[in-house]
Amino acid sequence: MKYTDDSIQQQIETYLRQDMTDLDRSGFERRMHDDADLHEEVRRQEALIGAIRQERILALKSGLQNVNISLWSTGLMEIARIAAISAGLGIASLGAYYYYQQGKAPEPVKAAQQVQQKSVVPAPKVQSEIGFKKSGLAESSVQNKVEESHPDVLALNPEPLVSGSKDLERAANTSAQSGTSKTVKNSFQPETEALEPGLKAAQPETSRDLVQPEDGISGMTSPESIQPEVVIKRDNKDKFHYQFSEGKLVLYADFNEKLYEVLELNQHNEKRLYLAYDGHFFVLDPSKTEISPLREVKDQNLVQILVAYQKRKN
Amino acid sequence: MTDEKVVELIKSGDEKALEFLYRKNYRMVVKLIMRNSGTEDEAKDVFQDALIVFWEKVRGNRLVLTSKISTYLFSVAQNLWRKELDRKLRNSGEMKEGVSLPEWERQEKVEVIQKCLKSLSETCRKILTLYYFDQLSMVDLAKEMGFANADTAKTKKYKCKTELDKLVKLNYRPSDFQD
Repeated sequence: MKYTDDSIQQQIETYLRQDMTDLDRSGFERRMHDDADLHEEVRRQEALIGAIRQERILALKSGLQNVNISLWSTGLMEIARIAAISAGLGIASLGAYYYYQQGKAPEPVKAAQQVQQKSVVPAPKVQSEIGFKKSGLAESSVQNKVEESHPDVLALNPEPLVSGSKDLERAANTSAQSGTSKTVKNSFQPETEALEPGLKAAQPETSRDLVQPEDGISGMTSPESIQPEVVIKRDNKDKFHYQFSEGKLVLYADFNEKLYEVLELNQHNEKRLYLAYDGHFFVLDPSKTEISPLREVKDQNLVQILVAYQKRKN
Repeated sequence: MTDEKVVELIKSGDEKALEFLYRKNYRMVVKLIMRNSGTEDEAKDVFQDALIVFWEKVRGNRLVLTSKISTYLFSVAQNLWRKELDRKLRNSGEMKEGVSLPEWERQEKVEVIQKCLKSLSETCRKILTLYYFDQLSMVDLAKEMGFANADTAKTKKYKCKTELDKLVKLNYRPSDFQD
């Protein structure tokens, strides 16, 4: 090989390192073009230097490959971080919600308790008293109720009424629960005109506008109100049954999910009770002292009256 | 670690500085590549190449920093990724036309030379690497290798290169390096 001497090798290296001037470079390239051996030697040297460089690059890259990048730098951990922050905010919000509820809830609960205490119409001790007869007890309780009227509270199902959550319910100790039985005094009872004398003058007008059912039941209610205590029993065996027992209306059903309401209608000076639940109405016959199934009202006229009455009342 | 300190460490050949830059700027470059049709693996590759460019420039005293190192690295990575995307585009066209240059042939030559390099002594490998990759001057090479002076470094480098040439010639015919 004629290009092994140091001076030529030096020129080749200078050329490959791009350290030649433009003039020297073009002269060297002309020489390479005319001399195949020189050209071959340059390519060989280029490959050698390239391999040396590549080996070093691989070694450096290998070092970098082993660098432990913090997981927080990766996209995956960025997502995890966002999720963690979201979860934290969620927990904080939940905490704030419960804190707010705990701060707020006792007041309405207390109010509800007061309403319960003051608006309770004691059940007649004698069974026959349920039969829509006016009693002194009923009158006094009506007065109490008018004084302490809390229509919104009273019209609701006791469970959601008493508190917004079961935890709060327990915390507030607003209802005496034991086993599957729960007694709720009249707090859930529908308000009738009898309980709100101030409305009596106007309401009959409205009642007359209602479609009259064939059986002649009017939408009006009399001042005398049946106010039985209601006991809810979650008894699977007699689910969706009822009975009147010791002056109390016992409902065998689970009313946890939807509101229910006891409606009181007057027909020829005789009161009738209906249970409104989940868009349906059921007859409540005070003479049923045995456990009886809740019978749905099928008379569409009566249903319309009950719907209208319910709307007006609420 | 300040930029000045990083440059100082790289100039002295301390690879820890490279690792520091890698950790510090990894996320930024990965985001850049992944937002531009790349994968995380491609991003790693490009960023490592960018760091090596930076290393070479600093080591060879061929870099005058007018910005932060992170800005410089971002810019180099951006250019490298652009080139890579162009290369991919060209390759997809070549594949369709069936005119692709057999990359494996070039890679094969490199692998044979690297085998020859491994047959050299540790000192020779280091001298050649520092001269051809890090592009140190003979004065710097002498300092780094602990030689008496630049002439000694030049002689040593010449001997190592000649030895490598011999090994390569044993494994290659001259025609292997023709275009």
